[in-house]
Amino acid sequence: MMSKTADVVVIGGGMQGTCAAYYLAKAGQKVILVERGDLASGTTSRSDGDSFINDVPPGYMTEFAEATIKEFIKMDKEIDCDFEWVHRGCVLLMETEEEVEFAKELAKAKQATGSQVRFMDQKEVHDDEPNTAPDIPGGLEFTAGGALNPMQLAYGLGREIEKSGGELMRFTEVTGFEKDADGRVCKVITNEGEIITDNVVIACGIWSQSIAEKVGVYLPIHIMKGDLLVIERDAYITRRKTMEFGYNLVRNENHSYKRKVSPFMEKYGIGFLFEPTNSTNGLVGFSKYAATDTVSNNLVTRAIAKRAIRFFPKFADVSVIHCYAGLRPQSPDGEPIVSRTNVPGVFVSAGHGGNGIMFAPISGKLVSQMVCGQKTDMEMGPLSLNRFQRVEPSVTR
Amino acid sequence: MNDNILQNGYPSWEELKKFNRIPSHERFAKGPVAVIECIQAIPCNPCEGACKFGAICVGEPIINLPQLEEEKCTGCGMCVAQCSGLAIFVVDKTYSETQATVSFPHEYLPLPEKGQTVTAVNRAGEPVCEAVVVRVVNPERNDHTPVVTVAIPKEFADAVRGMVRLGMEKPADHSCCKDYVYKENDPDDLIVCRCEEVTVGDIRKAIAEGATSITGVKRRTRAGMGLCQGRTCSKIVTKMLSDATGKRGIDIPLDTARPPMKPVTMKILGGDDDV
Amino acid sequence: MEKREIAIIGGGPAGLAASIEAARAGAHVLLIDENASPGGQLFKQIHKFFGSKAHSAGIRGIDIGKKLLKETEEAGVEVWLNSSVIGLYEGNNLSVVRSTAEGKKIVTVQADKILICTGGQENAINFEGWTIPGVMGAGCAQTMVNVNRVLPGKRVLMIGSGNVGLIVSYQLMQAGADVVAIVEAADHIGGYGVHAAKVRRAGVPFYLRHTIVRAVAGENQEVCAAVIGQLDDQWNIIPGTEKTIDVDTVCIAAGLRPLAKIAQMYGVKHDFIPEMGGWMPMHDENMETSVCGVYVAGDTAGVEEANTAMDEGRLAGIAMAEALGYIPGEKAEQRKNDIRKSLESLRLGPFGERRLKAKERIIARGVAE
Repeated sequence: MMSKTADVVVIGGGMQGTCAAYYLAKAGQKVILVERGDLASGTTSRSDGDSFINDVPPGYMTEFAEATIKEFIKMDKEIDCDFEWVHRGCVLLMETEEEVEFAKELAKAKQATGSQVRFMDQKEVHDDEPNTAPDIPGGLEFTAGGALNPMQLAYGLGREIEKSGGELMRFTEVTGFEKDADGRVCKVITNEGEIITDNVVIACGIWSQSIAEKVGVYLPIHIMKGDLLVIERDAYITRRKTMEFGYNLVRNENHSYKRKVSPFMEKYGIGFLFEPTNSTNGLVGFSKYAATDTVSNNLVTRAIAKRAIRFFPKFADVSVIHCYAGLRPQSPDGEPIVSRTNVPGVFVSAGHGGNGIMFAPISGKLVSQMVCGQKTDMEMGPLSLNRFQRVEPSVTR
Repeated sequence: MNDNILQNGYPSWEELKKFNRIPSHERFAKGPVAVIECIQAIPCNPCEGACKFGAICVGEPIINLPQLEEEKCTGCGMCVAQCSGLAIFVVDKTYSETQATVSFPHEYLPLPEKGQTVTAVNRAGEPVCEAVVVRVVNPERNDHTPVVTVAIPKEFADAVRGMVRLGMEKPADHSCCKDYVYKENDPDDLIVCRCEEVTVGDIRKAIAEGATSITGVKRRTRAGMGLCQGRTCSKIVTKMLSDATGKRGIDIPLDTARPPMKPVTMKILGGDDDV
Repeated sequence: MEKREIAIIGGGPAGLAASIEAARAGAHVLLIDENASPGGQLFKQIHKFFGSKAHSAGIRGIDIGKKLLKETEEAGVEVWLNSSVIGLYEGNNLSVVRSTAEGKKIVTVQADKILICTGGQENAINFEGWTIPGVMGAGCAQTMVNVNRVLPGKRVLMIGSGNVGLIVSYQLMQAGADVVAIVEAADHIGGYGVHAAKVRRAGVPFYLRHTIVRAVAGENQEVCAAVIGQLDDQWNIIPGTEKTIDVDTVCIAAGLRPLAKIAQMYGVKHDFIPEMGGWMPMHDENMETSVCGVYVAGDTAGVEEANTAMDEGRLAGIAMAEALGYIPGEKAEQRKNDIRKSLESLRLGPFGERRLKAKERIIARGVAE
């Protein structure tokens, strides 16, 4: 087999890998993307698809989110692909008065950093979406952020990469690496031959850890499973993405807050999310728990249905046509790893948890800037792998 | 593969002869006799038990062709209604100077009546001659397989094996070739996935772009993501993949099986107190 | 959660036969069927069955169904009707949408042994106009005529000359329709000669090496005609051979394939066996799959016919009862061997030998990964 040469080899053909390769190719690098299966065949095809600033706490991560939304908007104009980008914001619904108080505070904090967020009282919530359960006491409306079809975007970016002179090596497995005398990566070995390269970007989701290991990089990534339900076509619930506020509150702001949910829902991280899609087969979620299989969980899917009806009683008569489950590659602190590594020439874009689709464009852009030696759009410290060096994987959650 | 039974759907006289299906002239001369027009080795033997005179033998294995011991056969016709393949007839060439009778199973309503004139047909369903109904037998033991006996000119005794069913005196018109005006559609417009309205063109494009499996096509086009979950279209997509890539059966794996197997409302799905 | 010794998914010929054997042996059997009555295809089969006396040969499918129903009742089989298994999850947990007096509700059933016999599904073919009302599967037409007692049309074109195409053509005529022609892409008739002879005698012509080109919609947007054409060696239509035939119904009998989604979702090892309809769950000589305690039978275990389905069901029923300790090994082995011999006899001859060889290959291959 002939060996190939590249400026940079991107490992992984999901959302992270295609985004990184896209920005690198756009920057004039000769890119080879290596993917074990087809493009978008891992978590990218087993996720919902959205990008919202409500998903993250105020501060650096909100800036990061705003930057990624800008990239989506740019991509939607620049690339020749309809990835079903709909930029119409989202609504978070509260379940209790206690949550309403937290929401009001959060709205203020986000507004202070310039986020477009509005608190809605009980009446406003119901005027906005009459299907909402009558007792829902309030909501937060975010006008920034949108939904997309991640698979279509990955395929579209694949075409763009090829157009810019990059190469896609699908159905190709990375089996090892070689380093030069200085310890810098110089070669990627695959079952389809060798690639001589100066740089490697590891962006292969839940497999990132095992690939990184082959080149001598330790990546603290664990796996959190999530289940989604797909509903029948044309069942109108809401016009835009809607999710519960309580779950985000626990995750982002107040870890000691207890939602009004069953012990089962607590254990499996079940929350409510509804995402209308271009095809009108809306997605209903979600769950988050440690597991490594992609078979839908019987009881979890039932609990998701139950939770959905709590917020929108109309769901009761809506049919679920199928369920699927995906695996989130998650870092110990739940935030992405977009970083250089201890091995010169090896970069990582992985560990995005439940926000992989959302953060892919900005992560890809930042990785590209690092590889090319350019000034990065954002300060890289908070995303650096170094932040975990003292964390033992066994005690992380 | 040039056998008449495989080409035209009925055994030719030569085939019946070859498999020794036709009783001897001597036996025909003695009176009514069963003609068992079964020439393929299929697993079936009710005829054996149907004959109380032990004239029909299948034996082991049960794919043996039934053999008629013509001397034991009385032409009683008990076997006619018991043959699951409706392939046994009783022919009486001694009915009169000029006429023979043929008894055949006739599972159509309305039944003809004794004395009625009907149109007798041959094995190919072609009208042969007029026939007069001599007998219609439909006892309970026939289990809704009436046996009709018609009298016909003797020369047609080896040809007639049924009648045009009543109410259908004119055999169906197969030749009609009205010229319909239809739009010659672009084959790319042809629907493959009915639920998600995905066309041949969409799938060809997905395959050209690198889809190599049902799942690859599904993710690119939504074919199979709808209400029926690919039950209808997955076979067609498999064929298109096979035609385009040269891959065969085993190289085109099934798409993932996902619950629920049938759509279920959230009220039912979420109606569990344990979660 | 409910617990049962044996859960059987699908109350067709295989499921009924299995439930009777296992229940008679003393096991507590739960039979789940999504229809208002069990029996599966048997209640559509108004023709007399082939096979031997042991296979109820000469009796109509519908009557075999009635007999089996009576036997399930006598054997004390618990039957859940109008109930669908929507998933099979870790730990032999079946998720069942069960019909009760208070309406449908979801129940988890955990069973020691599970038999999946959900039958087969009709293959679709697409041609111009295949989505027009009046184009339907042959099995669908058979259900309309024999179960719902509705005639789908007066002038029918049948695509496919296998036993399904032939039998459904005959039954449509019995119900009062005209079958205008039977079209077959191969160079010979696929089904039994005796079935072909029945429809031929009724005046139905066969068009071999032909296929449907398009279904034509009339003013009411329903089928008013069909165009057929002759095929060349490369399976392409020979220009100029097209014929337009007046019909109001087009039935597709393009074969069946095993319906085994429940087994597939549970990780049962599958393989591609063309003779049996394509992808199917692998099983051993007791009909047990690669997942211990999960069995398959009938069309799910490779498309054949009702007699083999009943025999495979019996085999699985005895094997499950044996595994639960209800039938001593030696006695079970003897009874299973009798059934295996009976199955073998049903797979003899030109129509069965490919299936016989395929089944031998499946069993020789084994279910181990």
